[in-house]
Amino acid sequence: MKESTLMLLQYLTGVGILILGAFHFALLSFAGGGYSNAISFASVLSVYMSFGLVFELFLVFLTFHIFNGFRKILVEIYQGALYQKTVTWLMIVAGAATFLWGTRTILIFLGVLH
Amino acid sequence: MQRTEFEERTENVSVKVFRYDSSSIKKAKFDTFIVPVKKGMTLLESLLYIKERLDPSFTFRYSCRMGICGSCGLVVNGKEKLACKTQMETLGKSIEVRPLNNMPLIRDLVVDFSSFLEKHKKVKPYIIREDVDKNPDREFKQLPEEVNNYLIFADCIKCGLCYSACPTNATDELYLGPQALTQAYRFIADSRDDGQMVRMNIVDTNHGIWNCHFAGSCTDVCPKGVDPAFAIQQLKTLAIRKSGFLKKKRPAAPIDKRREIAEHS
Amino acid sequence: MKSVNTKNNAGIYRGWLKFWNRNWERWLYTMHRITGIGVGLYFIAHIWETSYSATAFLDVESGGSPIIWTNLMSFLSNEFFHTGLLLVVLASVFHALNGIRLILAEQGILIGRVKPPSFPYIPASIRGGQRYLGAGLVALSFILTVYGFYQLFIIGLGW
Repeated sequence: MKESTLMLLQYLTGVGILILGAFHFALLSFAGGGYSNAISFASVLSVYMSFGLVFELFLVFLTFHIFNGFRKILVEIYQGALYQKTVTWLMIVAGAATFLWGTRTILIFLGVLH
Repeated sequence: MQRTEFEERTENVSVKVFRYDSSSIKKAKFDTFIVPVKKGMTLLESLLYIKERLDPSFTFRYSCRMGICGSCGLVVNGKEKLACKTQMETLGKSIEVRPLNNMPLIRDLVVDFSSFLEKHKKVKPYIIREDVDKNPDREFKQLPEEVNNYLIFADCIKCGLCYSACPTNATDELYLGPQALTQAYRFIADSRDDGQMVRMNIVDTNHGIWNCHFAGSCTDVCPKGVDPAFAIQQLKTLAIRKSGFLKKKRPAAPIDKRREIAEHS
Repeated sequence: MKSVNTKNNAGIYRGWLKFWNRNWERWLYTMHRITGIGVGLYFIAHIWETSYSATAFLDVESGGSPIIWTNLMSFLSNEFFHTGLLLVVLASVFHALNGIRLILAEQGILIGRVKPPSFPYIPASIRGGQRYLGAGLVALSFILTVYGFYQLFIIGLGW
């Protein structure tokens, strides 16, 4: 993929994270009735059952943005050909693993996994 | 007679310079020299004082003494400067002079510019268009506004200060660097040029424009006000929007006035 | 005499981290990088933490129980972890707001316009509106962090 396409995705996911992150922080503070109330068992369950798919989208954005950012930083550190390839593939694998692991959590909250 | 008011006062400044010699054992050290500084003396003059009076083996590069040739770039107190344009007054009582960063050492303050210049060549810093061969004796005209689109970037003297200040170049050897990317933009912004796609394919890669994170240090240290940071951000805009300067090429001037006059007379 | 790096690269410390004798954008660059790495690593830890806590929401036959959740929350509910969360709030808010500044600058907005060269060569990009926007965004991220402090410490820990 062209670097400019990746960076366009980096911009778009960045803006998406800004919006969904503000939503996430709002749910944990004033919209959730204060931090202590927002992290209680019952309110976490109800929030994640209703916004599960929104959080899935948040997870997709974050995974791409963070692991693409890590790749950008890591390829700037050292320039061996093998290292550059390894970094790219390592980031793809680590990103996929993080995404799947996070998706498992969301599926539990949505009641798909029992 | 009150001579004191008009007498040239000197002030002793300790100049700590980086010393390195690749021919002998590969070791580096700092030597400190005391230089009597007069009003109006530049850093280059202080370095020449050291070479002429204190240590003839001390090596550095310079040529024009007036900020045109771009040979005397140095890192002074942690910041890149041209020695000839830097007044000693602005530097304080004790200064540290190092060679430019991110380029291999040769001797003392002299560094090897070859990778820097290779990267400059890589972005094809010349007019690219197909009809040059068809019209070898025609001119490609420009409006004054079109000249102003790139004139500031054409002021680059290839002194390497931006390359030394750039945080990406600090670790990334393959990164094209602010100078080369600015020259890519200088030719893309030129209304006579038609090589945007060619150059975009060179700069829109890993270790290209997207490794610039807009730290702005290149622009901060540039002695000619070339503004590489601006040029690289413009390249990013073009890379994202995939348009811009594409439909700008004007055909060659139909008549060559000078030749016509010569033929008729 | 000490041995020398003949490649003469400034390296990570002098290149990425040493911003204090440089321009304002370089400061923002270093902070953007540090906060990006910090929030990225926190995200991985957060995915692990939530996946552990999610077992509380499984069915009872699969080992689910609200006690897992309550125990984890009481373990995390102290000054040490909440200070960490406050740093995450500061870092993520700064990174997000500065990211907007970068997107704007990289799309040619707020970095001035190209001028014909004339002495004393004042560069457009680091004198443009993005410089003031950067200062405003740093201030805004501290203000939002104060709100985060209120939520995490005064409501969360009952200070």
